[in-house]
Amino acid sequence: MTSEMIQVERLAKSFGNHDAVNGISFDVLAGETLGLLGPNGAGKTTTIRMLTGLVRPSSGRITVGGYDVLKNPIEVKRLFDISPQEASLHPHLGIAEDLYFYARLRGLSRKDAKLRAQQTLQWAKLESHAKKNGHQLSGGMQRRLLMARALITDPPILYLDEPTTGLDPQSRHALWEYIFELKRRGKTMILTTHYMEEAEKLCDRVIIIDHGKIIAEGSPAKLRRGLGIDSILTLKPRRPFSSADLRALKEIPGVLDLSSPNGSNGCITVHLREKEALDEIVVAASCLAGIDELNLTEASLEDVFLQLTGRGLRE
Amino acid sequence: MIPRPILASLVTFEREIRDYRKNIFYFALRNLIQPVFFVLVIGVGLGSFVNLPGRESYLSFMLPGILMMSVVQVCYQHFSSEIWMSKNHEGYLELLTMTAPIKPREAVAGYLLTGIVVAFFAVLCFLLPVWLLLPGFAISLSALMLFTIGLALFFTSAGIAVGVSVLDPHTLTTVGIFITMPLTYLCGVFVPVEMYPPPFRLMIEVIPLTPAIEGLREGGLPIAEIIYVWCAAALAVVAAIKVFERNMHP
Repeated sequence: MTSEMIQVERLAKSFGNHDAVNGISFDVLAGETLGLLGPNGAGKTTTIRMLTGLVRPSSGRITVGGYDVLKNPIEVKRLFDISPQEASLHPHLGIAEDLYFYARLRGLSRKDAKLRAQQTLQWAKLESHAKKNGHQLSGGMQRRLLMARALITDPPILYLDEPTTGLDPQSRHALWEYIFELKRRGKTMILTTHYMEEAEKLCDRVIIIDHGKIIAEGSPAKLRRGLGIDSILTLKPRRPFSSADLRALKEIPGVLDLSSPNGSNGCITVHLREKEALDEIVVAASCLAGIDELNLTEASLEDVFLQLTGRGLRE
Repeated sequence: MIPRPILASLVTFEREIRDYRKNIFYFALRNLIQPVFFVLVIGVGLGSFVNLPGRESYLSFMLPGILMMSVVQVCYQHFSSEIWMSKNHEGYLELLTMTAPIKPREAVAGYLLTGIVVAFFAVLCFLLPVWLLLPGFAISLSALMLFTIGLALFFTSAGIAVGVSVLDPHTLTTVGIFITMPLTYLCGVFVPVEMYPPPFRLMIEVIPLTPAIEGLREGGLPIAEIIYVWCAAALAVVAAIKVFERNMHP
């Protein structure tokens, strides 16, 4: 992982008065998996569409494999493929035919395209569905097909735009396995996702975008450390805490924040700056109200995400 | 070794034709239904009461018009709906121009080639029964071929431009009606254009369908009309490429 495969410099895109992407810059190294996270409407998909050359940036520059996306679109398109958000499968052609033409449009000969279409169906475990059209497949099968299709010419770069959205846990884990396999094969990948667990598992580095700007960047571990929370303690008291009890717990050194959300059945969530505070808080809570249940987890990327982008619902 | 741009257009063409072949029975029916009704109801039915000065029977006057009109309708309707669906509903048009190493103009070239084939299929669907039922019906095949290609290019381009730029399905239908209805009833299919007042006639004659119909009725190889239709087609192709590029790469 030494050379930059993708370079994005001061990239911006406006639609009328709305700045969808607002001067973002980042690099992706060869073989790296970069996660692009953000709430709905943050600018992730617009960024991907600019990376593919589909949307023209209002300003800024993108180079992929040393080629400028706008000046050398054909050279750039030979370097990447995409697993898009939408099914985007041909409504009348069987999936084998769809894959065949997909490969032909990418410059493969008739013979090679036929062979790669068969191999792709095998890889996606969809050989028995070869004659069905894409819309006759289940959501999980469609996702597998889209992922497999993106690999039909084995490009060095892959854009995975929310590849597991709407999938059941089995299908999601199967797709994660595919992505791990691609990482092992040294693919450079940009992944957009709403699932923080997915980003944490799959990405070497994460960029959080909001309102078209980068608000945080780093490895998932680095971002968690940056939050200042070591771990999160959830505690269910035997008797409800009084306000004075909660104030006393909050004053224990090492406690960063303490909350008792409505509807949490009296449970409290304690953000700990350091684990050393754990002994003291458990003893104090036990004396004050008794303890029914307690659970200690490490701070997750989701905590980082919510801390940075807020908990309010987006339009 | 075929150069990449030509190969890209040919693969797009091959894919569109494969798709067309899948539903060829329905397309054949669609190509036949309206022309057959026009011939039976207006040509044979009402035509028996009509006498056009200096013309043979009303039916033989009407047939070249119906033939060219079916080319126009088939090309426009097929591509406006196909492109609209693939862009706004199915999403695979975007994928084609987004990730495949193919330029928008190469994709348009593939659609235009398909348009020519679709147009000839419509001509065949109409001419075969006509020749079976009216063995005396004569038409200049070279003029028919050249006008069919010209009109196919012009109205496939119009279909592509509308399909790629309209977002709302109701707008698509309304625009379609506003394009095909006046062409059907005004461009000399049922009534000789000489019957219109001069300024109105001038407007009608600008539309390439009118000189194509008039040219076919003349017989032989009407060079002026053919050149006019082909020039209009060339302009429409350039416009369709621009509209396609602008809409697929906003």
